[in-house]
Amino acid sequence: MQAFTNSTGSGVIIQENLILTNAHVVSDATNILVQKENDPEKYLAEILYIAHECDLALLGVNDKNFYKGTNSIALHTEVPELESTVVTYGYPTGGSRISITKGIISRIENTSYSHSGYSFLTVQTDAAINEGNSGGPVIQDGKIVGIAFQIKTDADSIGYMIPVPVINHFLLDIKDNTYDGFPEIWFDLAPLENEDIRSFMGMDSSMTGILVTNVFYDKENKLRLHDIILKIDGIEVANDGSIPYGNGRILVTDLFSRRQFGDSINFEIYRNGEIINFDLTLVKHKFRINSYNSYDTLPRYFIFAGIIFQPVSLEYLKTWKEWYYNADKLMLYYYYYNNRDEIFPEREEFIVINHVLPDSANTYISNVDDMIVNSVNNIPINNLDDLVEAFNHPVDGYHIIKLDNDYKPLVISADNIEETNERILKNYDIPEDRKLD
Amino acid sequence: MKNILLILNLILIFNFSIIAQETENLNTEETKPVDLSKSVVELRVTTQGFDYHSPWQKKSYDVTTISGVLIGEKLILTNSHSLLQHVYVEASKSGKDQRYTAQILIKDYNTGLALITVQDPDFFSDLIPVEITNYNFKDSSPVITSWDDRGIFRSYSTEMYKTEVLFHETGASLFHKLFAALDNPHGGEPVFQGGKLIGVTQWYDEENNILSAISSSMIIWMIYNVSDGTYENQPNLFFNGTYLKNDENLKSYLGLSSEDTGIYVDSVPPISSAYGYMQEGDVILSIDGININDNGLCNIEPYGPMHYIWLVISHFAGDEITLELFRNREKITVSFKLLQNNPEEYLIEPFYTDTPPKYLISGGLILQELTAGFVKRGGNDWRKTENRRFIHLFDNFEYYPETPGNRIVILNRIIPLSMNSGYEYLRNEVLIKVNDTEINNLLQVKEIIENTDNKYIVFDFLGGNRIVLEKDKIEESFGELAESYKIEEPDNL
Repeated sequence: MQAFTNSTGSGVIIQENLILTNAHVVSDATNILVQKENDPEKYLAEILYIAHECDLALLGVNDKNFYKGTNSIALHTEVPELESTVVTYGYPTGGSRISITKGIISRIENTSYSHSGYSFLTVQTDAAINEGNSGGPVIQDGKIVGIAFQIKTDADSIGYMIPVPVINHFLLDIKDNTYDGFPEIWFDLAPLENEDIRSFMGMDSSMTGILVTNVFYDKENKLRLHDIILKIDGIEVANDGSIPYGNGRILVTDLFSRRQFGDSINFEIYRNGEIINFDLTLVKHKFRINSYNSYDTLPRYFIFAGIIFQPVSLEYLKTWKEWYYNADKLMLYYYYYNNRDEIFPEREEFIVINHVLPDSANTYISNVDDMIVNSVNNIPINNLDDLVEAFNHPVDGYHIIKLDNDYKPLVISADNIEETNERILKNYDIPEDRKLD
Repeated sequence: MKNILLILNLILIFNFSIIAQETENLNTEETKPVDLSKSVVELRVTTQGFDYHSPWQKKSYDVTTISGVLIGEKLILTNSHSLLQHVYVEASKSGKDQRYTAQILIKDYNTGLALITVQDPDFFSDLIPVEITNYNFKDSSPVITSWDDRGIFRSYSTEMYKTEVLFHETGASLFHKLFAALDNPHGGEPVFQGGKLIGVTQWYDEENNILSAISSSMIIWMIYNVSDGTYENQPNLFFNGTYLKNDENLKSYLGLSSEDTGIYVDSVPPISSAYGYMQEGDVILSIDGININDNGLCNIEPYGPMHYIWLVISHFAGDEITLELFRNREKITVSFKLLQNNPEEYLIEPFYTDTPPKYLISGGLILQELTAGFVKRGGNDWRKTENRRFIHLFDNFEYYPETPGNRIVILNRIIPLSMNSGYEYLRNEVLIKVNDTEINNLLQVKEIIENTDNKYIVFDFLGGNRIVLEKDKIEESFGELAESYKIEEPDNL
């Protein structure tokens, strides 16, 4: 656990006396206080729902006195038009009273949400947005058109808001009292902008589409390598992968994030001269190496004989400074290529040795930090549960751990292993030897 | 070009017992002053590195001055790494500026040594060859010599720090490490003891003032190597292993006693001399009867504990070697012939060479072979910035081809031409098929494109990306390549 810090942000009361703000304003919070412009009191708030992917959170205040003298603001129904005027309200740096700025809508596009790393629809404005504005509303015609949430630091007057479609997706999602998230594509795509590849694949000059270059998870095998996606839900996909949106165009992947899990989505694809049509149900896929920022969760782990095992994830890689340059090379290869190069396709996740807590039982095991586990006791390890189970089956009185890279087997005597495990946990003050979910 | 005759002349002078590592207690009372300035020469080397990122051109040239030492009639010894990708070499002597054109006879990147000569006999008229001997710790401190930039012959005293075998991707060599305070040595500076040659400078650690010199044992090895009329590369005993490091648990699990020591074998690549004789799970206990300890060291007089690879590199390709192995709970002995370390047979050429990079520009696609030169194109920070998959392939010794000569063909990047518009974003890909044929080398790609009757050429890459171009358009693209980008040579195969 790291030392605690404090920070401020903004929020807005939407219908049903709920406060909408950004997830990054309240994530990992131990204590949240809210205050109104005309009231000296500070009230305790709690997080009702938090959505890290789209950087939104809903707060509630138990003390109903908070809501006296307040009004809620409704959400607009649409994305604002380019060049139209908007006004932001919030509590940015530079003072402690409410601050109001005005600007126009500059751009509408899918951009990365830096809190999570996911990409969703974003609306850009030149209204001044600064630190502390996060979570505050952007208003047009008396209604919320977006929640201010990030700025581009190496540019001028580029501020971003989370637009209404994304906010509505979040609000609709939580109607069943659970936050499920945004569906993502489970395949890689490549544009078909060069006419030679389109002719070769048999497309006639009226057809446009995008090429599937890799499918990660499709147990029903409906979508295949080198399929050409012509339409999604009846909307034509252009050769650069875009579909119409307002006055412009947007990447087709946006269609997936507009849906909820459980919805079905229609594909019209071109394969070997035939046009094929099918529906697929959108389900949450568990990626083998989590590649988005994680919050509010403690890492899963298992400790055996002092060896700390964890799944490889982006959070693990981030423990290196400038991890994309300096992290363990094999791990980086797995992180970037585990799908494209079909690295150990039977594995659901990759288990790494974080480090070894020194003890007489493991004293000969050293320099194995960051190595990835291949098998334990001759049992291939495909997930953390496999690992836990494999340690129940020693071979000839020993536990044998083999690693993915070329290295000698790690050998631990199975004699008195329960005592060994207890002793190590006690010596290092570790209350629990595992967290498996 | 190897002028074997010149070198054979030299061999008549040698006492080959030195190579059997007998310690000859050389008479240390003889301190006849030797004028080494008549043996040490300067070499002005112009090198021009290959540009692995734009392989149709070379980088800008560099000129450095290194040292050499006369070891025989018309034979100058120096360091090979300073001559990498050389264009022109000149020799000068006695601190004077008069320059003579020099020819390179042998460049051996394994040992780190090179032999040079000069055609003009006038160059050698007043020079004296030196004698070569092994370092003797009982003798006087070694001395390193070079000509400074004002034509003054300098002698620097040094202190022996240690002697060790260094094992790296270009091979292995025996080094003397010496404490020395020098002004920026460039390589090739000879090291003497009692007026006789004991080493040649490879590199200098300025921060710690430690100079690494290739030991005279390697010089003698090099000369003996050529004595049969041919020059082979160093022998190889490739395998991936882990030192046992007193791992009691592993030894007990394998059935070894705690007194047994050695190296655990993780894997043996097909190109290894030991392939078929040694396998995963073996423990190497000794080589040629000499025991290996749990840190991979063996005891070699007079140096003490040395990296086991010394037992391999003191052999020559073609020699037989004997290994004592522990396998399936018992000791066995295997003997086999040593094969030479031949970079042309590897799937990935493991170090820089003097061969220009192969490339094929087809429809603007820059196709190359994955080699050490390519992987290091980013400079010193290459391990941080190079494509992760390429680094992974380069680091993995399992990747040896079943057919020698097979290579990994990659797409470096694409030169934007009118006919390849839409593909410009693709780079750093591994090419696996062309027109559905699996690709094993670059020449094969050219042949498929030239010989096919198909209208289209389909390039398929690892991970699913695909480029398709009309064959006719590829043929027409060479004109635009020459006109817009001034690339006249679309391939080097």
